[in-house]
Amino acid sequence: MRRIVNHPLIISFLVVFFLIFLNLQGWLAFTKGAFLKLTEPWQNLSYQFSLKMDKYVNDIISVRRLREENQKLREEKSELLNKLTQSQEALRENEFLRKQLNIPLEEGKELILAYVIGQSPSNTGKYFLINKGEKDGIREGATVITAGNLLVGRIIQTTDSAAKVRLLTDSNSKINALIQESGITGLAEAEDSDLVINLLPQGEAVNQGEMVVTSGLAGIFPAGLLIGRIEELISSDVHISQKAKIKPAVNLQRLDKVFIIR
Amino acid sequence: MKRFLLFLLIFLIITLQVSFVNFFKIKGIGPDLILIILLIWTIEKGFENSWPAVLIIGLIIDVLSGLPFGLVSLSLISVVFLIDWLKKKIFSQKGFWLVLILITIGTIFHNLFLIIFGGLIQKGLVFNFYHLLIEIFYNLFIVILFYGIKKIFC
Repeated sequence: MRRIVNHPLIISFLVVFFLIFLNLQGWLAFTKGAFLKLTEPWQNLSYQFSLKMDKYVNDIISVRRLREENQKLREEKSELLNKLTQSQEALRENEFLRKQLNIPLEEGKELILAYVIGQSPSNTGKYFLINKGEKDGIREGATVITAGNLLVGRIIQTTDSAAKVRLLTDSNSKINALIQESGITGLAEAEDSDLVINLLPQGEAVNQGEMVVTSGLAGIFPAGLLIGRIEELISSDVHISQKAKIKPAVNLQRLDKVFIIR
Repeated sequence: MKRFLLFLLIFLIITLQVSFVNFFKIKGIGPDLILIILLIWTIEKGFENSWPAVLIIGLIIDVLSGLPFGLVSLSLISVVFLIDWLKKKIFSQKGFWLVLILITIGTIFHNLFLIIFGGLIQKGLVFNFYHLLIEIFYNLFIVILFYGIKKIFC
């Protein structure tokens, strides 16, 4: 009996189960926070350094691709300018209607800037670590975006000085989404390696390139955050609903700065 | 001194795993440097020597990853023990090919244990065969690279 208890495997399991118990009681929060605080400068430094290295190597490899991309972006820019003018007009009209109906404008939410200091060390699950935590006013469940109102994910765990973000491509992430042009709602979730919008009604036309945004249903994510564009419609008569593959608007593997909506 | 260098190496590998590895991912999957190092260490030195390091590294990964606390530690300890047992009881030969076979088995079981223990801690983790293949390919590539460099310089 004593030999079994003294076996390294049993000792290891007992230690881990004991720590899981302490963690469930919340008694490990201080230790975990202190560890993250202690390693944060080094993690931040190495992550930023690897981002720069990656950018440098990519720049060298992809000069030709960048030229083509530049041209494409110029075209997109003119198109967006056109859309901006239209939306400003719509905004003016909206404001006028609000005044008519006495509807108050939504309070401006505060954005907190945070730096990504490390990606998840495990291939199971898509998360990253940011350098802002509870002392900066970050709470579990807060929405994480990047410049241009592009959805990144949601805060799932916080310590005093750091927080973990579950990315929208994680298998446990479910987002109520809306295809902006056609007004169809669905559920955006990760499927294998892809992001898809599921539960789209059969027979509804979904076109490639249409923008997918958060619908705001269920109140988890604010409405209107860009998730991505429709890449491909996956439709089958045997299913009651159809789904479409989404190309995420943001490259989640190369993010360095994010905003947390408070 | 040797122990200090060892922990410095562990620290370096964890840093590489959370930063550099991210940029070499295919379909969101990269090599698991930590698993590779712990498996090679166990294959060469045995579970009785490697388990304290496996436990400490597992707990560090648990703090850094978004998975439920304890999940990675439990999986790493189990897989390292299994590989040590396989090496001692099943495989009689030694050498490079055995390392490749054990790394493949280790990668498969690490993923399986994560799913099984994840299910016990009520976290729905999804098993993806395609992702597993990429990880095995990547891990084997790193091991071949590691032994190639070792052969040139040692």
